[in-house]
Amino acid sequence: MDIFSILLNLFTPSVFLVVFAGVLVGIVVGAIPGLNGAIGISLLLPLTFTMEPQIGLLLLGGIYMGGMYGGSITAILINVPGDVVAAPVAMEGYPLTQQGRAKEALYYSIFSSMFGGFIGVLVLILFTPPLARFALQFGPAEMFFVSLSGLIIVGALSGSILKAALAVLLGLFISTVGVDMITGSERFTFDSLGLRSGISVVPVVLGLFCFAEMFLNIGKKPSEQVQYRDQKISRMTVIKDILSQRFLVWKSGLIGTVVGLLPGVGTTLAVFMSYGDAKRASRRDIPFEQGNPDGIIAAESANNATVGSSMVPLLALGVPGSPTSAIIAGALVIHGIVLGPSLFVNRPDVAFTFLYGMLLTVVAMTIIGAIGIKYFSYILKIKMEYIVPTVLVFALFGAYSLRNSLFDVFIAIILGIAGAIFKKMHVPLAPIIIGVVLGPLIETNLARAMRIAGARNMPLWEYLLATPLSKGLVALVVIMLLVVIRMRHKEKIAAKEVKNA
Amino acid sequence: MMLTVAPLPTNACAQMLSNLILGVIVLLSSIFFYLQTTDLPDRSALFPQYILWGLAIVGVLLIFQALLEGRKKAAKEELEARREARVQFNDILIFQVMVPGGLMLVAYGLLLSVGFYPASAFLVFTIYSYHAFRIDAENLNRALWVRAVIFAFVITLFMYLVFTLLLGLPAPSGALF
Repeated sequence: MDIFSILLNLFTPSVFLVVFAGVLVGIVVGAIPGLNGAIGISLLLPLTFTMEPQIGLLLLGGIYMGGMYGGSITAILINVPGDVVAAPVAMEGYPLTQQGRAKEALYYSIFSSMFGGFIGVLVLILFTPPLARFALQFGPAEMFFVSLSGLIIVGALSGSILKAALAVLLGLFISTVGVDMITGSERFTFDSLGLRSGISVVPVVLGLFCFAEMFLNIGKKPSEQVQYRDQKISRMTVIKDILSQRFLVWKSGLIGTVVGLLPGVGTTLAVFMSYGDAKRASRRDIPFEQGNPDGIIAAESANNATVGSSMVPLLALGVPGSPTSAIIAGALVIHGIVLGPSLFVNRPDVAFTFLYGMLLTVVAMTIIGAIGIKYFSYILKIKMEYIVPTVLVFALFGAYSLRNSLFDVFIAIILGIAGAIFKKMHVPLAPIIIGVVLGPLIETNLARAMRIAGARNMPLWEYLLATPLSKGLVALVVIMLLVVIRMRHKEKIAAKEVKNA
Repeated sequence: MMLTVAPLPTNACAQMLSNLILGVIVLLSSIFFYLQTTDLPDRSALFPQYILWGLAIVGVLLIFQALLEGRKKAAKEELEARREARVQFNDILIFQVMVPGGLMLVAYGLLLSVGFYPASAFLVFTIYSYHAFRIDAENLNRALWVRAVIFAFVITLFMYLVFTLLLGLPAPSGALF
């Protein structure tokens, strides 16, 4: 697909409208404590059913990008990081707010997010098509190892590794419910008509992310009111200062990009690594935890860089890099689009419009973020008593509208109850989603590999490791796991430092 | 998601207990589901069996971990802390999970019988009121009921306008709507 056709697809009023709306929704849901980009995407899923796939996808991409930035608003203004990811921003941004420099902190946040976002999306554009072309050579053995790589999330999450393993196994188990596509036999359906068609990813996401989260938000008191007295500062002053720290921006953006590329690893790791690195390398006289802008620049550049790069494994290999990209994968399935290397052959229009359209989401985020700063304090005034019921009924509709199935609604509610209990038991929910998405991919390729190995009269393991490519992939998976465990160790140290401070 | 605070002894107690319960449930469920796979053709049973083996092992490890922690803590921790942790966990289980979950199931029942929009109005009204009640029971007064009714009506109307009229998406229908 040539660049002219892509631009023609992109520069239409509907695309601009959708991208700006997506980013705005993302910023708002990201800024409200208790909500996040994943919930925003889940809620707006039904809207995408009536859109062209590439436009729907850009709406979700916009929410993802905006949500990543939105989390920093509460962190800076009221010292409430909506997510662990925003904790370092709170450490540096809130002291600036206390000094009457909230606007300056928000400018640092938005413009660093912009630079990080651009780095991530450039990697997305440059790396995805060649990786997809390369992945076309993959057989069942290689695809089996690639999909296994997504399970690295177990090693990447902070907290109990046993519980992360439990969550991912639970997700894989959920994916086996229904009619087995290979033999046609029913598994764990208990003669229920609803279970025969399996449990799709969207009710699982809505149950675990929306219902569970909202149940636990019931009874939460309103946030502290924002003290918004501000010193004047121009946008250009902040941009110039960020550009004078371009090495920090590039380094943090690249850390975010590389970590985002690892399937299932997540943003937290990237943010804490970048923040810790900035803390060691900063040349400013201002101490950290007292409003050093370098902390904001590093954390925000890394944060938004993961958005683009986490989509690379999803688009090129069909392996979601984060829970949010798993939801986006679910949305594409609804449109009948198969993710992975064949996407660029079968639907280049969708793939390339999305890749280049993600640049627009960065532009939209920057414009909305830079202009809307004075209105952000209003977002924080939205009361939880209005948010919780609204999210619940929208999620109820979302669960139904996927397949017009009331059974999906029931599944979402049951998983919501289970998800809330899991959260209280410190069982992470994201690996469940990853497991549900990767389950069919792992099983199908394992079954294919077994069939081929059987036909060739060779043991399965011998077939799986027959080609240099599959051997290389196994080595890569092991290396990635070791790297992730090492990074996790570093993250723990960085998080400990933040907590102590 | 909010930041978690550093674990207190009470949390450790609660976690030990919840790990034990979780481990037992996971182990028993994996045995139950494994037995369901025995009638399946080998090819269909293989992948779920691998997963269920994994789940059973995780279950056993969770039980083992909880028992080890329990032995370590039993000497140090006060019984009072355990009781407090149990009360805290039960409070969350009942008021933050079971009650809203129950309300959702009632709304689901209404969805089947009277249709999506009346069920939505019910859900918005009850959750709004319940949220206010959880903050402070004294919030439940006439003004709150009126606000809840208005809010439920506005949200339901908005959803009807957007999903049904504007986007033409089908909503579950029932006897009333």
